Amino acid sequence: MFIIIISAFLSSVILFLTYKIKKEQEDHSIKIKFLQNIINDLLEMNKNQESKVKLSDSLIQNLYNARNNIDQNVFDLQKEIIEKLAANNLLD
Amino acid sequence: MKKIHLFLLIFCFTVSYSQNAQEIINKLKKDLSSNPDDKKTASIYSDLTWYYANISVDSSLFYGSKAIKEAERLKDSTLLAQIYSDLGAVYFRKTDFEASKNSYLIAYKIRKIRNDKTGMAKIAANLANVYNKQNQKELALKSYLESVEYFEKTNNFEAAALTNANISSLFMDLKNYQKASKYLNKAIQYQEENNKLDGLSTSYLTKGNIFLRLSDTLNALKYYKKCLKISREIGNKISEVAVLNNISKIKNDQNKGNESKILNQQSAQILSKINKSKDDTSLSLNVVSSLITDHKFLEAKKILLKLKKEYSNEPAYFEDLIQTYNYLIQTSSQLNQKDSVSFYSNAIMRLQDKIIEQTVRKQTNEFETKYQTVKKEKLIAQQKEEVKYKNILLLGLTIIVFFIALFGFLIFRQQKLKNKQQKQEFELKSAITQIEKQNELQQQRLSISKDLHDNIGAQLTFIISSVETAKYVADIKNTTLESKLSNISNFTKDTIVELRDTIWAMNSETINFEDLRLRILNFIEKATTATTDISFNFMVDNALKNTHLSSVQGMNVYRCIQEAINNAIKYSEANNILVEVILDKNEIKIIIKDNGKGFDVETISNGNGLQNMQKRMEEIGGTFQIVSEPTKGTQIKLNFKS
Repeated sequence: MFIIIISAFLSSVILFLTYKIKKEQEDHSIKIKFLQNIINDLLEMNKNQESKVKLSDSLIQNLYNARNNIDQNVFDLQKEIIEKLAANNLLD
Repeated sequence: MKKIHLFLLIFCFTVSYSQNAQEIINKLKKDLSSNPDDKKTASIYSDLTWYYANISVDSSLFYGSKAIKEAERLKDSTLLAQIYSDLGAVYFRKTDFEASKNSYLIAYKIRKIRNDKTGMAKIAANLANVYNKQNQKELALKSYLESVEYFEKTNNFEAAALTNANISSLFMDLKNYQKASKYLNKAIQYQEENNKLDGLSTSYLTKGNIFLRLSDTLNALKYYKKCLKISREIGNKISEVAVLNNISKIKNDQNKGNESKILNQQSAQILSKINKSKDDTSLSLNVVSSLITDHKFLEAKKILLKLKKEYSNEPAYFEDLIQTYNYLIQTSSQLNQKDSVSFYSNAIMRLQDKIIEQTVRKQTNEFETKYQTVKKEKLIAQQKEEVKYKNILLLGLTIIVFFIALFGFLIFRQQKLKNKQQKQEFELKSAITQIEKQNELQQQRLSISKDLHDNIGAQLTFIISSVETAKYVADIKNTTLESKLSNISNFTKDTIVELRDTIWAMNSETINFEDLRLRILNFIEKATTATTDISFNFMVDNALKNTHLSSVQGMNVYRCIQEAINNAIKYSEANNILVEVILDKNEIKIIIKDNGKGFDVETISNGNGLQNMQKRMEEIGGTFQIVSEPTKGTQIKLNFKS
């Protein structure tokens, strides 16, 4: 009788432990899924921002080219003006 | 007399061998000297055990032990059972009932395993005889009944009848004459139906004895006469003597001295023929009784003194000795020998005291045996209980240890799992922190870029404004200078447009096709101010209404469409431009189609515009294709994954 009671008690403890482990596993998997979703969102946001940074970098390169171009045009314009002024002896 | 059945049973089993036993033994020994195989040797030893039983018990036991060794070596259980059974009979003959019982029990066990019912029946009968000799009446009865059951199952009704007769004798010993008669009637019924005269003579004798004990002399005489007739027919002298003595007693009690005397004489004659001295005693007392009746006291006393000498040292004949003393008192009294009367009276008293003492000793021994047996049984029960308790304890401990181990394992597993989960959680949280940090950095970088773009935008606007003011204030007539100023102004305007487009793309989290359409329309509006005769259509598949593009995708697609439309306006002389956006198996297809003059794709090398389009589509993982033929318009196809 004593053995039966002890066995029943220990079996209950083991069942409870098994249930607890399973429950913890489920909770953990929910938590992990939630964290993974956050990571996915953050990565998505990161990707988006990265593309914007890329656009910005590309724009900066274009602006750099544009500045060179404008500089050249301004230089040519100044050269033309100086030549014209020199031809008409207006530099003095 | 009442043990005559038992004797007859054993007699039946053994007497048939006794006459030729020596000849058979000689033959067996001769066979043994010819070196037979192991099985034959074992069989010869077994036979020698049996045949020596009637000649030399010691030799029988010697061959018995040899036979057992051989049978055990050969693992022949049938032979082994037979040898133990034979040894049981030998020990019985030697009056070593304990050894006999042990041998029979071993033989019984082997035959039970082999389910040999015939053998079990015989052994049970023999065991019952042993128990009977040991005065264990209950066990004897149980074994007899078991034996009857097996005999009947194996259709050996003759042996069953004999066993029933033995049960009857047992009940006679227990003075239960009703049951004795019941079992004997069963035996008699079978024996009469099958004319088994041997058994019948003994059964009638026993039946007569039962009636005599019940004081029914008429029926007793009836069965004695039946017994006498059959005994004479079959020549059973022992039975004949017994029945003659019993009839003589009855006749003597009926004061028929002459008849009794004649019967005694007949009995004496038979006994002298078969040389059986012990049964002579009963006859002698009958003779004495007759002599006293005839007042022949001196002759009677002479016989009585002889009998007294014979009975004195035999405890089994104490009852006959008391009878002898009684007759001696009677004869001494008649012969006026007072001292003798007194002496024999004292002798009776002493003898009775001795009998009482023996009975008491026997009963004390029985009680002691019973007490010891109970004590041993109690001890055995206690030991069994202890063993049971230990077993339960061991079982309990095993179960507890098992559960503790399982419990430990589960705790260990849980802890391990917890550590793993914590590690996994920590890794994910670290990753989140890292990504967040990266995002923050990018955000800061974008913020700086926006400020920069705003400043540049303002500076570019200032340049345009300055150039336009210079042109207006200076009133430049020189075409070269004006052209250069216009170049600066136009280039700056283009740069502002590009800057605004990029800011548009960067400010939008996502770009959908509606945004794209509006932007393109805005561009077309500006581009077609000089050529108003171009009709423009922008068609988006309904399935793509909710599709969103990233900034890079949106910007690159916008630039490609812008370039294609720009080319169409500038070079194709088309009056109809169609932009069509469709979804085909997760792939977005954009077709920019014009109905212009077209060109030969093979002959015209890719300019900067086409190369840029190609590069932009590759950047977002898409493809670029141009389809055109002279006079058939141009189609530019842009494909990329949504």
